[in-house]
This record gives sequence, structure tokens and C-alpha cells, in this order.
Amino acid sequence: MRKPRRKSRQNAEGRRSPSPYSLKCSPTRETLTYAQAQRIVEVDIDGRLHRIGIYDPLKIITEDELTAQDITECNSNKENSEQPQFPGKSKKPSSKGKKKESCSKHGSGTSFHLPQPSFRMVDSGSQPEAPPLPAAYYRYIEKPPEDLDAEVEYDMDEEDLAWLDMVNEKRRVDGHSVVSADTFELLVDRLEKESYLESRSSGAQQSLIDEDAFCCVCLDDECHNSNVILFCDICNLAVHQECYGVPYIPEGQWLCRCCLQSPSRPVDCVLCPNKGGAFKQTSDGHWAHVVCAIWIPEVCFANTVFLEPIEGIDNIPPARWKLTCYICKQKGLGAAIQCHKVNCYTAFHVTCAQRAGLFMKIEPMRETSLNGTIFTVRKTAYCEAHSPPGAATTRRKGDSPGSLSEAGDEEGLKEGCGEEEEKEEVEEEEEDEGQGGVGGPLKGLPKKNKMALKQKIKKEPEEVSRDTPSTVPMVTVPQIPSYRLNKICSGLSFQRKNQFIQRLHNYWLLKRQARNGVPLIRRLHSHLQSQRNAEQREQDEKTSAVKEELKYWQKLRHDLERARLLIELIRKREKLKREQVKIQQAAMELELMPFNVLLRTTLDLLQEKDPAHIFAEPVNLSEVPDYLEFISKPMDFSTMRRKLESHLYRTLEEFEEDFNLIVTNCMKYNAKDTIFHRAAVRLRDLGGAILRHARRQAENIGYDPERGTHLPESPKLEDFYRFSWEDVDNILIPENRAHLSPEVQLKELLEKLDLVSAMRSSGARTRRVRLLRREINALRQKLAQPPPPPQPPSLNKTVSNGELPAEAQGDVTVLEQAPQEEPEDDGDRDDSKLPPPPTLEPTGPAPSLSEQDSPPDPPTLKPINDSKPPSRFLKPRKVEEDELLEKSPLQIGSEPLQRLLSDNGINRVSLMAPDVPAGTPLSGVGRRTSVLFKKAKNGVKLQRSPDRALENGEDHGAVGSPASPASIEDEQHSRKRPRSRSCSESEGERSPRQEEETGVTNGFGKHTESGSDSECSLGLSGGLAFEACSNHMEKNWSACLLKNSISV
Amino acid sequence: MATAMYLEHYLDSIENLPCELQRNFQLMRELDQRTEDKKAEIDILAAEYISTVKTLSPDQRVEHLQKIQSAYSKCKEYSDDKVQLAMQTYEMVDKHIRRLDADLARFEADLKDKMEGSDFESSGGRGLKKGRAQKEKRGSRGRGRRTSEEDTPKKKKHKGGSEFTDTILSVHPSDVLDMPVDPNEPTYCLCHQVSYGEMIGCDNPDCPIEWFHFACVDLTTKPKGKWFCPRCVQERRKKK
Repeated sequence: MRKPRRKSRQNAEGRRSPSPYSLKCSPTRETLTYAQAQRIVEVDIDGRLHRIGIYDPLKIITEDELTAQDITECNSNKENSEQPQFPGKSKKPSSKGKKKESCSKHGSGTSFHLPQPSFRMVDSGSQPEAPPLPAAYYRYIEKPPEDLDAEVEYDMDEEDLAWLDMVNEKRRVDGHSVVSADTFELLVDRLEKESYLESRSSGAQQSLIDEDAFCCVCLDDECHNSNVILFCDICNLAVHQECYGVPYIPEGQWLCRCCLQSPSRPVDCVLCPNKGGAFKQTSDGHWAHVVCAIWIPEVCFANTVFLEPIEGIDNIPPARWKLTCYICKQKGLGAAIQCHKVNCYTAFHVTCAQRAGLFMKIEPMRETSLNGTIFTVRKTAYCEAHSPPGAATTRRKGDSPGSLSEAGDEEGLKEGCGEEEEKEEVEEEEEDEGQGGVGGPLKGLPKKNKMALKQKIKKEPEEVSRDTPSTVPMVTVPQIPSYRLNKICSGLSFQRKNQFIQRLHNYWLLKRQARNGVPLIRRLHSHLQSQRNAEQREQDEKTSAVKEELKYWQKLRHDLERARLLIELIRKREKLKREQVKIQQAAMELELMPFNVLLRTTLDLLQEKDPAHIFAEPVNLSEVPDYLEFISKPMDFSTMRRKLESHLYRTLEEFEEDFNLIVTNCMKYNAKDTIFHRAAVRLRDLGGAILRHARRQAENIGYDPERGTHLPESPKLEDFYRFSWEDVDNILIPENRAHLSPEVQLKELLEKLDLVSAMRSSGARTRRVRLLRREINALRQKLAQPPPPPQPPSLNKTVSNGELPAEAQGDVTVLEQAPQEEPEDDGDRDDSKLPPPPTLEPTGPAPSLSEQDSPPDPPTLKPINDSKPPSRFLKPRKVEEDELLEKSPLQIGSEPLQRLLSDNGINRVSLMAPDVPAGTPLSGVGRRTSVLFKKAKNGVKLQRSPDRALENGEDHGAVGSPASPASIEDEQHSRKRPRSRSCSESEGERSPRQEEETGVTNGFGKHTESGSDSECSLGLSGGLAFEACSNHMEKNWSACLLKNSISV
Repeated sequence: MATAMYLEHYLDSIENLPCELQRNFQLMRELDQRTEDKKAEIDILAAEYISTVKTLSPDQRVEHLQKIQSAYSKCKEYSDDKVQLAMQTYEMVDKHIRRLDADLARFEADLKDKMEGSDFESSGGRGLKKGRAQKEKRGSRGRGRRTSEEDTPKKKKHKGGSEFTDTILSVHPSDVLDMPVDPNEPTYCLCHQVSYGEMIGCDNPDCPIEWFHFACVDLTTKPKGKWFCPRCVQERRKKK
């Protein structure tokens, strides 16, 4: 590969000698005689010495090219030191033949006969038409790995062939068919690919290639296409192709020399004490580092392309062997070099220097000297002390820095030819020059040598032991699972398949192991890394794609969730709106017909007190055909409701009237001891309270009877519920209310009781309730004592007697007469209804009636009463009331009232008079047993009503008469009185009366015992007189209500 | 990709959702408008009634009131319709969500299968899948009210993954799932908080709250039979 070079200008002779060919014949310079020397001219071209005889004619060469010589070419010229030296003439012919082309090319060389070109015309040969170029370029498209995977890429080698032959031989002997080479290749291919996939999936099992690996020869990590860093497949040694002399990257694995030739035994460098690194064998079968061989001047490579073997070890002067490395401080171990600084004799091993990071530089040099331009490789190495300032950076741990500096002569070559440049060609095989001597102080001491030897010997065993594990490298051949193996061979069919597969597998494993686990298919090996990367990328892409997708779905889900939340909110809103509409309707109802609403709730409450639904529906006339004979105006809750809904009730009184009708009808039609009667009584009692409450509400709220709506402004807000303990306490002290009439007192007390019991339960409350009850009882008894004016009974009686057919009318009369009495009546009613005390039963009605009569104008009267001086005596006041009573009806001037008055008068005169006339004729009836009575009821309507009227009247009379006389007497007396009296009076005649009496006494007893007004009322079941009375009073009360509402 | 298929179907199915939602909301709005009209009418009627009530006979009054009453009943009817519509819409969206959840679960399962099916499929896929599973879990936590039972038992299946897996895991869930809390999210329960964890619904259809956190009503497990919230229990007791 040498190119003939010429340097025409410098060659005075004009003709240059083709040096390579003059090599053989040219004598060395030393052999020339002086005369010869005088006749030749020495020319050094490119480091080659050419001698040209002065008599030789110089050819003119029109050579324009003088290409830059690359170092390798320069280096590879081993003969350059030889001087083609011969007498001019002798040279010519020798070179003539060889140089023909070049000479002819240059058109020089007149003495040469150039061969004439001979040619002939081929006329017949018409040039065939070139096929038209396709529009598209041909392009080599690499098959995608998927396709390649499907193909059989494996090619058998001799080893395989041998093995297959062997196996087939055996098979033939066994009488089985031969396995073809194709099958073999296919199977191996599949195995390879399986293992490839396997290894890929098993991740980073295989050591990854270090990206920033550096060549351990030049310590550079640069990597060109033509000069890549190779890795030994076993020891992972990294070297440049050029640095290790590997011009072509081999197929399959590549092993460094050391692993290849001495895999089990570590090798030692003969030139330095260090282990590891790139070794080459020396010509004498030892090993040496490539770097050592490069740096030590006497050593060179026999083959400069393959850089092996290392030669010239023997040329190393002993002085060099004796140098002591200042780094490892070992003497006599290997050869050392010295610092290139002049006068510095510091010595170091090449590898030590590398590890220590000393300045070591190899650079190509081109120097122009007198003789011409010389290309050399300059190697400079400095000790630590003389490292150029900018270069002293430690690159890698223990490895050398490298930086440029001016070339210095290598120490060992200092004494080389003085004039000539040191040509330290690494590749040089012969080291003729440098051998002369090792300059500098040579301290080679035999003693030290011995020591070194000893050290070496000593080291041997431990090194061996240390290195043994590493000598057998971990060869990882991926295991192929058996099921995959089965899959591989599933497509094939030949005899004894499994056995063969098994063997093949083993063979394959062995082969892989022999090749240190490197895939047998080159592609898989080389692509392993890149594919891994590609795969990674692909996977990343895939991952991110899936991620994106998921994100999208997640977002969708999120959006949907939000929609759902929104709709949920809407749903809630709509529900609320619906509720709102309902409430609005209720509110509107309240606004438009509050009175009706009140009535409705009252009605509901009332109906609640009729759990048996006795009064819920109209009396079924088909069941009781005679009902209408007794009852002129049937009434029931449903009718009431109907009336209510059609706005027929304008006032609470009308409503109450109907309610009373229900009760009275029932009581009228049914005998006292029937369940219906009792239910009616009970309803009346309970309903009374409800109605009273409703009335109170109505008053507080204020209704417009005309419209059934609220009044424009609320009425005097007489806050019923306003309340303080002081009030209660005040009223509890008798002196404080001494100025009030007992009735008023009673009323007040009852009100307070209502209030207090409405309070939340507390100690103060219960105590006061008890006190109030006691007071109330006391008052009642007090009230019961004074002889009530006899008018009420008589009134009652007369009304009932006289106007019986039109009971309603009687009611009305009473109504009209009674209104003034409202508050008191209220209290009284409360009293009568809830706790109807026994005293009240006979006497109660009377006083209440009298009271009704007495305070003519309750609203007005009340304040008056309050304002009345306390000095007012109770008795006189009674009288006055009576007077008032007499007056007030008169004032009202209604006819029935007058009559009533007159009746009263009569009554007053003759207490028993009404009793006698009315009672006597009907006494028989009155005395009847209930059964009889019932019969009579069923039978004769007419007879019944008088009877009943009589009863009422009689009762009142009876009650009234004893009561009035008793008023003077003490309570005890009075209480006894009625009883004894009733006993005496009713002894033979009135069994019902008696019954009633006992009931009364019972009630009374209860009353006294419990001291509670309210509960007592319940105990009082069938007292006729009482019923009548309360009934009566209810009427009164409703009348009062009416009046009151009107007045309001 | 097979996984994309049913997801595509899902997309198709959900395509109509916006339209339907819009239609329903439009309807609701119309109903609302009608209700408002009725209310205005009622107001007029009421004013009229109040001004003329003095002169009206009971029958007339009844008649007038009847008018108002009927207007109200119309209002109520509309309201009922609206509620019905809202519930229907809710069901619709809910159905879609359920389906999406199911599809996602399937997607996940498919991915998992694929990962396991091919050994040399990188662990990255697995990691991704895992990250997703976790994400799913987190996603369902906030909202899976009724479905909470199905969601909670989902366990993190940690197959020994590479660092790659872990990195995905660590990165992945955070970015998707830190959705801001919707300030308008409906609140439930006595505590008026958004739904979380296990919830229980009151069996009273008219319950104003409807859903309760287990903890807020002192529940740890799902009670058997009917369950009423404290308020509704009170109401019912009162009614009795």
C-alpha cells in the first residue's frame, strides 16, 4: 500500500529513485566508500532517504501533487531508513521495469519504451440500450425486525455441519430419517430468537455497554465509524480498533487477545507490573501491554496493522529495566520511561503513568527541516512535576490526562542520531537506532532485581487465587423454557423429534457458552442495544399514548361526574321548588281564608277526640229510621266539614253551634248509659277545651267574619300567653284578689292555671300548679256555697219546658242572654267541663247561670270589676249582680229573656214551683229505669222531650233550691246539703237522679283527693244534671263568643 | 386496538348525551316558565278574591278559591314533572357513568391481560396499568357513593415492578386526580358535606337530605332492612 512518492524539486538529479525497490540492492550508508559518497546526493523524502547519483539525469516531473502523507503510511514504510544507494546506472534498470506505469504516467523517462496501446474497433457491437432508469431510486430498505424474525437468518458453520453429520450418522444407524441442514438452521434460528426475546424480557441482565467507555490504550473515548471502540465479550475491555489493531470488526464475538488465548490464566505484562488492560503477545510468547509497547522506544510491533506481536523486548537496554518507577516504587519490574523534560530523570512505568494521570501525549508531527518535511509521531510524557500547567487535570481516576504540548524527545532516545529527528514509529519493527544505550542515570541494581523477582514470585499465588473466579466469565445463556421449546419445534415433524430437539438444544447451549453467550446471529447481537433503545422508545411512546388515552377517559369521566353533580343539584332544586309551591299554597290559603283554616284545624282536633268515628258520618237513617222523629237537625263532622268548605261558617259561634248539635243530638237520642251517650259527653268535654282554645286564638288573631279573612290590623293584642311568675304569685294571695268577685277570681285562677300548665315543666311550675289548684278548689267551693240565684235553673227549665220543640231557639235565647258572660263563662266552663266538682254538679249550673246573668257586659264589666274597690263585700256584690242581671236582660229586651226573667222571679218566689208542675206529671217517666226510658225514647218522641226537659228543669231546680239556702252555711254544710237533699228528694222517685248523685259524690271525692280540676271531669261520666248544665253552659258560651266577637 | 373498540362505542353512545341533557333542561325550563305564569295568575286571583270577598256569596267564594286551588294543583303538577325529569336525567347520566366505569374496568383488565400474556412486554406497561388502577381507585373514592362497596375492596396489586413502574406510579396519579373540589358539589348528610366514603340513603322518599355518611349516623356496616335518617325517624314518630 505504499505509494510512490516523488519530490522532484529537491532531487537535483531530476529523477528520483524508487526507494522500495532499491531496498534490496542498496547498500547502507556505512558501506559506501568516500568516492561513492561524493558522487551521490542524499535526499530525505518523507523520512526516506534517497540517494541519487550525480551523474544520473534528472527527469522533469510535472508532479503537482504532493499529498499529505498519513502517518500510518509513513509508519508502515519500514524501509525508509534504508537508503537506496547504488550507483546511478545500476539503479536504473532495476527500477525500470517496475516503474513503468509511473514513468509513463508522468511522461518522463525518455530512455524508456512505453508500451503502445493497441486497440481494435468493434464495429458490429452495437451498444445495447441501457435499460431506462426507474423513476425512483433504488433504495435498500432494511427489513423490519418482525420480518427478519420470521426468516431463518442463521447460517451453519463447519462446526454445525460436523455436529449434524454426527447426529445424522447416529440417526441413520438407528434407522431414522436424516435431519436436513435447513431444519437445523431453522431450529437454531428459533432458539436464538427465543433466547433473544428471553434476554430482552429479562431486562438488564446483560451488562450494558458503557456509553462513555474509553479506549484503554489511548484513553480517549472518541469513536469514529472507522475506528470504533470494541469491547471484549469476556473481559469487557474497551479498545479502539486502531489502538488494538483490529482493522475489521469480526462477525460474532470479539475477544481481546488475552481472553482469546489465555482465557483461564491472567497474563502479566513483561514491561510493567500492572494488571489488566490491553495485552498483546510478544514474539517470545510473553504478554505485554499495548501501551507499554508503544511508549517504550525500543519496543515495536511486528505487524503494524494488527499490532502484533510485540518485538524488540530484547533490545531494551538493561538500564531501562533498572529504572525505578516513582509511582509504584518498584524497581526492576518491567521497563520504565523517563520524563521528557531535559535533565529530569524521573522514571515511571507507562501504565503507572497512565493510572496516575501523568501527562502523556502522542501526536503526529510534521517537521520541516533542511532535508525536507518529516512526519513523525511524537510521544511526550512528563512526570508530575513537569506536567504542563494546563494539563494537570485528572481525567479519570487513575488514568492519564492528556494535553498538547510541544514535543519533547523521549528520554530514551535522546542519544539517538543527533541530526535526525527521532522517528519513533510505533509500528516499527526494527529498532535499530534507539538501542544504542539508555541515557540518563541507570540505577539498575541487581539486588533490586532480585527483590522484584521475589515480589513477583510472591505475588503469583495470590494473583492466581484472586483471579480464578474471574477467569471463567459468567456466560449467560438465557434459559429457554420447555414450553417455548415445544412451541419452537411444533411446526416440524420428523422422527424422534424430541430427542433431537433436546440434543440440539444442548448443542446450542454449548455453542453459545463457547462463544461466551454471544448470540450466534450477528443481527441480534448488534441490534441488542439499539433495539433495546428503540423498544424503550416505542414503549415510552406507547405508554404515553395510553396515558394520554387514559387521561382523556378520565377527563370524560370527570366531566360526566360534574354533569351528574349538576343534575343532582337540579333535582334537589326542583324538589325544593315543589315544596315551595306546596307551602305557598298553604300560605295562600291562610291568607285568603284564615278563618276557615282555623276552623278546619279545630275540626280536625275535634274529630281526633272521636276515635270511634261515632260522629264522623251522618246517622244512617236506614239503621235508625226514627231518628228524624227525635232529631230535627242532624249533624255530624262530615257535614260540618262540608259546610266549612263551602264557607258557610262565618263565625266561630256557628261552628260551635253545629258541634253542640252533634253532642246534644246524640245525647238526646241515646240513653244516658249507652256508649253513644258517654261518647257524646266525652266529646263535649274534650271538644270544649279545643273550642275554647280556638276561640282564644280567633280573638287574638282577629277575623273578619264578613270575609273570613284577617282583620286589617290585629286586634288588641291581649297577650294571653304573656306571663310572669309574679302575676301568678300575686293572684295566689287571697288578699290580692279580694276585690274581685269569686267568679272573676276563679276565672283568673283558671287562666293562670292554663298558663302555668302550658309552661315547661319545672319545679316552680308544679308548685304553682298545685297552689293554683288548691285556690281554685277553694274558690269553687266558696262559689258553690252561696245560694245561687234560682233564676238560671228556672230559666233553663222554662226554656226547655216551654220551648222544647225548638231547642235551637232556646239555645239562641240563651245565647243572646249570655254573651256578656264570656270570660267568666270561659273560666266556668273550664271548671265545669274539666273538673266538674261534685259541688258544681248540683249547684254549679245555678251559680254559673246566675253569674252569667249577673255581669251584664263582660268586657266592660271586667275592668269595672277590677277597678271596684276591694272593700266590696262578696255577698252584697252577689246581690248587686242579681240586680244587674235583672236589669240587663231587660235592657236587651228580648222576649224570651223577659219570660225568663219572670220565670226567675217566679222561681225566686217559689223555689220548687217549676219543679212541681213540670216534674210531677212526668215524674213517673223520670223515675223510670234507663231501659224504660230508652223504650219511651224509641216509642214516643213527645213524651220523651218533656221528660227530658223536666229532668233538666228538675235538676236545676233541685240544685238551685238547695244551693241558695246553703249559701249561708259553710261549705261542708252545703256539700252535704245537696246530697242529703237529693237523697231525700229523690229517694223513691228518682233513681237516675240518685245515680247521678253518687256519680257526683264520687267525682267530688276524687276531686278532693286529687285536687285536680281537670282530671276530675273525666271521672264524671254520666251526671245528667251536670251534663245538662254544661250543655247549657256551652250554649251560653257560644252565645258569649258570638257576642264577644261582635263586640270586638 | 381491541380496547379502543368498546371505548369507541362508548363515545358513540355518549354522543347524544349533550342533546338529551339540553332537551331535558329545555323542558324543565318550559315547565318552570309555566309554573311561574301560574303563580302570577294565582297572585292576581288572590288579590281579586281579597278585594271582592265581602260581596261574594259562599258559593262564589268557593268557586273562586277553587280556581286558585286548581292553579296550584297545576303548579304542583309541573313541579312533579320537573322533579321527575330531573331524576330521569340523573339516571341517564348515571347510567353513562356506570357504563364508562365498566368500560374502564374492562380496559384495565384487557391491559392487564396483555401485559401478562406477553412476557417480554415491558414492565412499563404494567406500571402504567397499575398507575391507572390506582387512579381509578382514587377517582371512585370521591364520588362512588352508591357504588362505594364495589370500589373499596379494590386492592393495590403490587407486582414487583421496576423503577420505571414506580416512576410512572409516582408521577401518574397525581396529575390526573388532583381535580379541584367542585364548590358546587351537592352536599348531603346532617353535616352538610360532600359525599365521601360509604353513604347510606334514607328510605323515606321525601327525605330532604337523602344521603348520609356512615360515620355521621353512627353506622359502620350497612343495616339490614329499611333505614331512616334521624330526622325522618322523628317525623314518623310524630305522625304516629
